[in-house]
Amino acid sequence: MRLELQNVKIDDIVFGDETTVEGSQLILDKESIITELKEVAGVKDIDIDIALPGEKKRIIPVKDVIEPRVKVSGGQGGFPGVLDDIEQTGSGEVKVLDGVAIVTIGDIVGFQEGIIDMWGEGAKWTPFSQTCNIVVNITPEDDLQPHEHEAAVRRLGLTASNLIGEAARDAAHQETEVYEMGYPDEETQKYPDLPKVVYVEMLISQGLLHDGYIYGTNSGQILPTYLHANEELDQAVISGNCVAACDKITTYQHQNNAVVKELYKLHGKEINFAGIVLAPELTTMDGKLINTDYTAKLCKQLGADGAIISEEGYGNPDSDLVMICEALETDGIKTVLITDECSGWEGTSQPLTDAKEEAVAVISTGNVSHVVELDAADEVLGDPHAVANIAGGWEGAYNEATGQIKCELNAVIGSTSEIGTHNATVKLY
Amino acid sequence: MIVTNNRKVLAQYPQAVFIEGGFRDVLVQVRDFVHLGHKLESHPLGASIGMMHSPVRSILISEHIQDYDELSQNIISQSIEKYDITMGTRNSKDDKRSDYETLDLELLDAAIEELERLKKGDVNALRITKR
Repeated sequence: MRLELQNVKIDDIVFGDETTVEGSQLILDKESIITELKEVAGVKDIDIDIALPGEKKRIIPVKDVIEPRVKVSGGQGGFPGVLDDIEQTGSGEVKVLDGVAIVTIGDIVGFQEGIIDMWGEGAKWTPFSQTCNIVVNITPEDDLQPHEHEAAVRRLGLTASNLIGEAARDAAHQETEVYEMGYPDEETQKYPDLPKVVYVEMLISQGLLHDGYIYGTNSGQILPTYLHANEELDQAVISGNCVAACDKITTYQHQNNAVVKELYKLHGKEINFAGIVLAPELTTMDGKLINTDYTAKLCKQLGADGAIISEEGYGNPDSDLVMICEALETDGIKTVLITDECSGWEGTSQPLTDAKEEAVAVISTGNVSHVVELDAADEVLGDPHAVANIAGGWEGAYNEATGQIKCELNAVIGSTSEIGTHNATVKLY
Repeated sequence: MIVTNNRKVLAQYPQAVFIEGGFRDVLVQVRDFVHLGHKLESHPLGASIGMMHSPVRSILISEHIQDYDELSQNIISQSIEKYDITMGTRNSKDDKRSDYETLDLELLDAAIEELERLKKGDVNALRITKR
């Protein structure tokens, strides 16, 4: 399977009369885009703003982030099974508006999603301070049920991505990333002596605001499944969860999964990368047990010598993480775990809710409880008061008099991404 | 069996064991049930910090007393410990109580559906019926 990501480098966005690319500038026909997006079911009103790196702008509450792309050969592209017809992703040529992100904002039930600051202390913590952001503020129709509301917001972000991604179709690209890999038997013939490594990617799969989707299928409705690495890089997996900003895997992070890209770099040199097992994080104990067994079985069937396991979320998924680790190690498969820590403001508390003695190789992506103080913005896109209802914020976290916010990293989107598509790093002392 | 402090859950599932109190009181009641020999059917905690701040929580446990279940005991004990560490001195978000009640009910419904699927639709195994 061969996927070519052709990066059209963008470092500026302006509004204009036509949606197109000129040099490294993306021009957006705002009114036409709004008109088209209003066609999405459940949407009453839309507003679009631009937020560029370095500007003193704060975006809150963020729901999802998506990289706009268009497939120019090898298939229809888009989001098969969600907005577009069914087809297998992972092959062909894709033009990427590299440096651009669609950021959806707007109220959801109860608590909200995270913060993106485009400058200063806040910018340091989120990868989406370095992208040129198209901020889509969504007002849903009145009296929508919570599920309809969530679906409308999710589908609108993806629709905007398809729509704006079209601007890249005829634009010149400055960089090409090639992801080419055969099926496991072919790769094993090529690299018989390299250890086979499977990537076990866990997805929150627990119901309203806690779902992930694979080709549009709710991951809570399936047993663990097997993907070619290219499928995830080519939009087969999208986010439908909306609770913990710091470690939710946004759609953008699925499209640019750092674990997948890193394993690709090592493929054929140090390891034989045997693909992705997507493991749903269910809420029932039976669900956790069957998914643990099934994940271990898939890894075993693939002949894995080792596995990288990444978590999504915090709390009950900690149990899935260490249960899968235990099962794989018992089967003789070496594991490395990637998770964030909830270690309290001082960073000294036990980081996870569950532990197993087999979990010895663990990579931390940061302490979600770390407190940050964010200066006042010149402009807020959205509603700063929402911080009171974001995980990691609290009543009084937003100082109305000064415009400052004090919150935990929990509230900053992508700050402790458990797939490593983020800024924080680990130092040994 | 449902153990809950969520009135929206009680309205839908009148046979639920209703706890007058907070999230932590539900955890403690579940721990006591586990000590008696009930088994955890759903995990006591949510999947994110956001759900940890909820004033309400609903947890599924087995209907009947069985042999003492060590896994359930470990998980409920660790969950109470983690809840205390995570919440520290802060209070749950009572001002959004109604939204949290809705979300907790939705997630409970999803958990029951999940169990029905895994137990081959044998709802009687849980004796849970929705009004």
